[in-house]
Amino acid sequence: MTSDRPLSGIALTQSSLTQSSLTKGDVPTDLPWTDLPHRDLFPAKLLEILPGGSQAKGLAGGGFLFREGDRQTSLFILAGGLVQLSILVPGRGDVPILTVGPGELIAWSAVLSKQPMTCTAMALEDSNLLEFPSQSIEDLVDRDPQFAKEFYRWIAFGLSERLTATRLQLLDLFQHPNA
Amino acid sequence: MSAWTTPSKDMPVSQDPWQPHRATIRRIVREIDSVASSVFTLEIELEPGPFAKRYRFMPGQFNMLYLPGSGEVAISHSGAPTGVASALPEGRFLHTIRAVGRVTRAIQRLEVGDSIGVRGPYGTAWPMENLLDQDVLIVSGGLGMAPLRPVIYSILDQVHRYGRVDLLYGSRSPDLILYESELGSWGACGIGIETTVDRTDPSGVHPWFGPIGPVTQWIQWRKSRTRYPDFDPHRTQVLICGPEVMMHFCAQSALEIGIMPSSIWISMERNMQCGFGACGHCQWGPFFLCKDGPVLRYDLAQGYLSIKDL
Amino acid sequence: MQSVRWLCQNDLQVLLDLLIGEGFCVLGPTIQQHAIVYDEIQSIDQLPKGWTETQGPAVYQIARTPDGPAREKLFHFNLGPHSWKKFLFPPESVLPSQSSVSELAQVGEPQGACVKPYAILGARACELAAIAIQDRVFMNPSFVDAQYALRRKSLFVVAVQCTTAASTCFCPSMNTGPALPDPQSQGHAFDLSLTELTPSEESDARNPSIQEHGFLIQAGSEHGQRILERLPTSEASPRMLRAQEQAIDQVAASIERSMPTNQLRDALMARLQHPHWENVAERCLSCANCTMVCPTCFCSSVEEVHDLVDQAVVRKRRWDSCFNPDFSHTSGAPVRDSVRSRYRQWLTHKLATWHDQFQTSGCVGCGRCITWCPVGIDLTQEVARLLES
Repeated sequence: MTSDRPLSGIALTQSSLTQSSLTKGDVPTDLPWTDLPHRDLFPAKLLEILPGGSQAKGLAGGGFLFREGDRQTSLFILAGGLVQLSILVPGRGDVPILTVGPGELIAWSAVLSKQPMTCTAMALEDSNLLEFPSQSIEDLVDRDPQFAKEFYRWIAFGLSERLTATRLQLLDLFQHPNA
Repeated sequence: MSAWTTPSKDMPVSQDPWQPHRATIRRIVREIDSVASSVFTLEIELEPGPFAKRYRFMPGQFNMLYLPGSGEVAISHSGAPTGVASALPEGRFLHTIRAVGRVTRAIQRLEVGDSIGVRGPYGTAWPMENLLDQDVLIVSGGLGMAPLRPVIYSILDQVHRYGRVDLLYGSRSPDLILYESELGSWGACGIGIETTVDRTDPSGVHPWFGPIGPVTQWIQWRKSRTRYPDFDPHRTQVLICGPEVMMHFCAQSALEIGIMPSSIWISMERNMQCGFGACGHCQWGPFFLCKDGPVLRYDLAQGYLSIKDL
Repeated sequence: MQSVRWLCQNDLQVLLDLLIGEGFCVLGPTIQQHAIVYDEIQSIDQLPKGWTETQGPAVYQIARTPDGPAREKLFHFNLGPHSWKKFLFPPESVLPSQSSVSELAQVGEPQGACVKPYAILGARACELAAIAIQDRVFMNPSFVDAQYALRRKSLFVVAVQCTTAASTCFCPSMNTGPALPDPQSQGHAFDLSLTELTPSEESDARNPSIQEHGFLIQAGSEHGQRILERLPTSEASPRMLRAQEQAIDQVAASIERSMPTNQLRDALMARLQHPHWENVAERCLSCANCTMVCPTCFCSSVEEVHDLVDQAVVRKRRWDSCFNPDFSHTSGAPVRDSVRSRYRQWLTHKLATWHDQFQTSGCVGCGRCITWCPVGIDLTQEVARLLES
């Protein structure tokens, strides 16, 4: 699926649903192990808390995963597709800042900080996600220190990769104009 | 070998390598005309004669373009190379130039019919032979697209001789996408086109609804079996061209998805004046980038890329 | 073995006259501004007879040779700030593309070639090696520098065997001296060679023989042989040949400075981030003296020079140096914007990557960079410290 053509008919309006638009759809039922982010570090027990087995949920292109300001209660792995993150800037509207791709984490602040989402997440194309309720994660963390260690190491690694990507984005944006 | 051996003392003195050859500007195309960047493409034609007759170039090579009174500048070929069906007639070629320094700004002021001097072709070429029967990932950052376009034209000429070919094109913002109008036709001919920008265009002149982020992500996402079920790092060659930092991180990402260092190629840039290894300016480690480069195989360059002020 | 002959000191003038008569511009060592430099000479009186020098890091001082037989020598010194590259690869030359602003010339023959061919008198072993190195730089499969090739082809070389050494010399460790190359086995490095001997060196107590000062002279090429046959030479005695050997041995033994060369290329390239580079950078002024006096440095820049009257543009190529801050200017700023990175570039190019490029070291052990560095940086010392860890 190419993404060089503008998606038509996507209007980011305030009147869209505030709830997650995830639905169970006709998506592959087996978790593609190779797509797991940082497979070597992936805490296998995380899969035990996936409701409904390892089925990925579908989000149609243009649908919203969550909105800026939502209180999010799930951590997601994007199994397939692309999700666009955007931030609302008064006077400018919703400004897209980053695209998240297959194998990446979304909404870790649901687990880490419990703060409202700082950006809106919208599917740029039909996507599949694995949803991990944060309460279940916390319960497991409390029960199982080994899991806790593996889980946080895994998240830290994902964060550092996101940071590197963001740094490259910034480096390019702030380059010497003659570069 | 003895310290005193002079291997080529009796070499014949042929045409002086400093001698520019006259060419005429036939066409000027404005590519990007924004506040940040002014980029244009010159179509030039060599004056008929022995030099024009024997002039051949390969993708990745460059010319030294000379404007008397201003100086010379190294500019990559950006048109279809010799031998490709879509190539211009003998002695004619394309150069995409950004007006950023004294010489390039002076060249920007030239008009159709004006003269310009040419020395070349110089440099190593993209390894087209290595790409046959392979999947090809072409990764371009900003104006790195210019030295890569001859590769695309070569591939399109005989697209059946290659496996899956994808272009990952990262640009700072939508208004700075080079050759944007051609991307669609390349896609229609079977090349997978994935473009991304670092940010959207704040002026709103170039609306953008596509992905945002560094082009390195598009390399990393190739691990996804669902998105790229046919991706096989063992039969994929990667060509990267763009700012040095971008090439460094893109090569790292390529390694992370299983590509071998000897299957990755980059194009390095340094100050070039002579084009043939005499003036010393373009040295980078052991390489004269004008003749051992600019295209280098990544495993040979890897150690030097991490030393930023080499 | 080409036969070695004996030439009296005064008859050296005959050699000069022959060369001048053949149309050569003869260049040789002569004293100017308290230094022994290379310039055009016509008479052996212009040679620094009875002069010598003291050299050390940041030290160059000429002085009268102390009393004794050596006082009569014409060549009892080593190297000054000039090298022969000054003539073969001039500091400034015109490139063959004179053109007006509106037209580009189509020129077939290289312009700016020297009017007269050069004959150099007094080329030392290390200098012959340096010339051979620059031959690889300017005449190689990638290109031939037309002007260099012209001057080089027509060059007549009279080499001189060092019979004394400066403290800054380290040619033995670079395998470039002090002995001149053997013409039989080591190619056409010179046309004629001279080894200067004085009475104490070629006579012994039992058989004091020739009392004159003079030279053992040998041909290294056909042209040299033809010239030699027109010189008033006499037979060289075995005693003279022994004296020559002794002199060379003595010089070699007197050289203490050395460059650690074992696997040097790999050792330096493995230490590109070594902390010692910072140490050198604190002392180095990035003044580029070393590159100007170095006989193998070849970096240059091209400049467009306008003649506002005729609207003509002349392209001049000038010596440049990797120590110049703007030398590595790329995409808006120099890449090597610290003294540390520039010194590292110079040293690693000279001693390491030169091997990758030209299959030889770039250094001939002449020691000029040590002498002419205003702060006395000695590259043999810097290399030794780098290799310590």
